[in-house]
Amino acid sequence: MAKLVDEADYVIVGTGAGGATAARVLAANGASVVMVEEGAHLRPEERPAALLDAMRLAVRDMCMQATESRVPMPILQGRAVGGSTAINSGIVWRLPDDVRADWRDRFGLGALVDDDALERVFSAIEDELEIHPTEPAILGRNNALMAEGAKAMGLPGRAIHRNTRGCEGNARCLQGCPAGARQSMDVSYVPRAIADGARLHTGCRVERVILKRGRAVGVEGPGFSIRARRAVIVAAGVVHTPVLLHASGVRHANLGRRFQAHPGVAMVGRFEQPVHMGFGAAQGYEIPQRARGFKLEALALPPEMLAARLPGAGAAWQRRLADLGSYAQWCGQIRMKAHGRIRRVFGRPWIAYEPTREDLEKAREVAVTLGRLMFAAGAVEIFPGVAGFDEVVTSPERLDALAERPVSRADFHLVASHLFGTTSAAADPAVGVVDPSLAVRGAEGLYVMDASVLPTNLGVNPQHTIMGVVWQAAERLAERARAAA
Amino acid sequence: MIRWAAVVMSGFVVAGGPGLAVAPGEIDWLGGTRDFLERASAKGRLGVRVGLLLAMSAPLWCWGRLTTAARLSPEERARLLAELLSHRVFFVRELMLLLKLVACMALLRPAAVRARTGYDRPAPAARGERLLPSIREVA
Ligand SMILES: Cc1cc2nc3c(=O)[nH]c(=O)nc-3n(C[C@H](O)[C@H](O)[C@H](O)COP(=O)(O)OP(=O)(O)OC[C@H]3O[C@@H](n4cnc5c(N)ncnc54)[C@H](O)[C@@H]3O)c2cc1C
Ligand code: SF4
Repeated sequence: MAKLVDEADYVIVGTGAGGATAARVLAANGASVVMVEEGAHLRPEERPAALLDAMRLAVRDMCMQATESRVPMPILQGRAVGGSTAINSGIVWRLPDDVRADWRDRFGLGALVDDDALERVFSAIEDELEIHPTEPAILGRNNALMAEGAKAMGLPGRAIHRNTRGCEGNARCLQGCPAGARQSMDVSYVPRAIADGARLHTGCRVERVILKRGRAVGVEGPGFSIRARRAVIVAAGVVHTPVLLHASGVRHANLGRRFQAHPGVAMVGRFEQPVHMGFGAAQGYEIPQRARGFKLEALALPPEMLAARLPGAGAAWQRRLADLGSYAQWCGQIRMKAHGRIRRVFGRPWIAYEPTREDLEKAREVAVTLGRLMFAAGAVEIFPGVAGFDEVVTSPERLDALAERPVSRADFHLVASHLFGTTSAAADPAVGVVDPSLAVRGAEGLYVMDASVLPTNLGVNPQHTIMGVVWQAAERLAERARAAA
Repeated sequence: MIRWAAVVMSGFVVAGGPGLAVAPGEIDWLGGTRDFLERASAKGRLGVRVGLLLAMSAPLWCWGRLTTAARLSPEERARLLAELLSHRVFFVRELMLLLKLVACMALLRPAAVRARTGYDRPAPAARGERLLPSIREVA
């Protein structure tokens, strides 16, 4: 087979929230751009409903990527054009003020997250991706019940703000939107960059950034080689960006370190009224609890996953399956304190990450709060999913025992999909693998523009922050190139 | 080993049992497992294989009975799987959950079975709501 050879001003590795935004900004500024993506380009109508096919086509390692630990934690990431945005729920939150202040004061990133500049960028993204609260007509009962629970408990909930256009409420966001309604990068910024002249190569796994005398001049992988005239931008996501940089010869004491996450726990409850989880926005209602360190969200599951989450086997399980339309599932994303590390071992990522005791206590608090919320919304029984505790709980009082229970890592089913760090940005060269312009220290013409540059986790869903920060950095890169020309 | 899959996967439901009824032959347990093994990552394939081995030999190491899961009655097999799903060892629980997920993929593949679960909202017409006014109303 002939080798694929291409050349552009900017070569961007990865087409997720970071890579696609960089492509959209640079292409709009007249630069020539090539995007290189390991996964496939799936059109909305090619999105399979069957869980197995959806996972195979778009999720890294079919959901089997996990931390290396006695109790592994699944680390979910997309592997398709659009990256993780292709399989996410479209939830949008701006960078919280306290985090912005922390990044400015502790990491010297004041210019990157300047209030006025970010205001302009966030507004532009919100316009382009049509961000708005989930419409009542497509809320569905899984979301509406959470709203009822929040009201009953006096918790401040709201309809989730999402990036959708014409959502049909078929609850399939996690399998990839078959209606092309969710404005993930594969249907928004990637096509927009292409319309502005960018090129996209799919099925191309970059194995190395080519550095010549300390300058990035291109990328290569099996069967392809692409030359970069101005810069290479790595946006392969929190797990693969540090691995790729390491494989390319980049060295920094913090490369792969400072890995942080928002691992989540989930709970299922049975209601007397039909829920029909198969209808509604996959995630349409949320209860932010930032001061407590977590955020609660309704989360519809594909039927196969919901069925597997119902406890037991045999007759008891079958009775529940006959009533699959009566179950709701909600989850809580926890802003964990733990820091982990990604290393390259035999060419592959090795993810070391262990929640702290405080994190586990938070997981317990989330489980108890979700349980109380479900009863407040009218659940007749709930399945806490905490190992060693009652499989089925039928009264809110019983949750007091859960609140008092000592915590252990193996008790909780934690799953992480919001990932941060590993190539942190900071003004201090000893701390930041990249500087505040997102340039890799010790290399010329090499940038990182994805979630791995965020120096801390956020306590809110990250895609908007990633896009905002990358937009800012890409715009400045384009300005510098213009000034130099 | 693939033949064990039919024993274990079908073991999650008891044919003719209460609740979600599945007709004999309606679910292709073996095909579902094969599909998963063909598409899964190396880790996923290994997980299913080790899980099957554990489940098949569980009567011995879990109950001290010198037999395999294949020789248990359907009710006993389901009880065994339920015990393994809440086993005190994390890795046993996780592998059983993986097998249960693969079983659910096979179980819910036929549209008729999925429809019987009530997961999807009935179409408006089926709920007794009319999408269009009747001729008499218009007249
Ligand atoms: C299931 C799920 C639900 C989520 N829900 C939300 C949500 O509702 N709201 C929200 O704000 N956030 C959500 N997130 C998180 C959000 O999607 C991510 O934080 C964000 O997409 C990360 O952007 P990124 O550019 O860093 O990486 P990604 O979006 O993961 O993109 C990285 C891309 O790089 C490619 N790649 C990796 N290595 C290579 C290589 N060597 N060569 C070529 N290409 C490579 C990958 O295939 C991938 O396409 C969710 C994530 C998941 C997994
Ligand atoms: S709920 Fe369905 S239609 Fe709406 S954005 Fe998600 S996948 Fe698309």
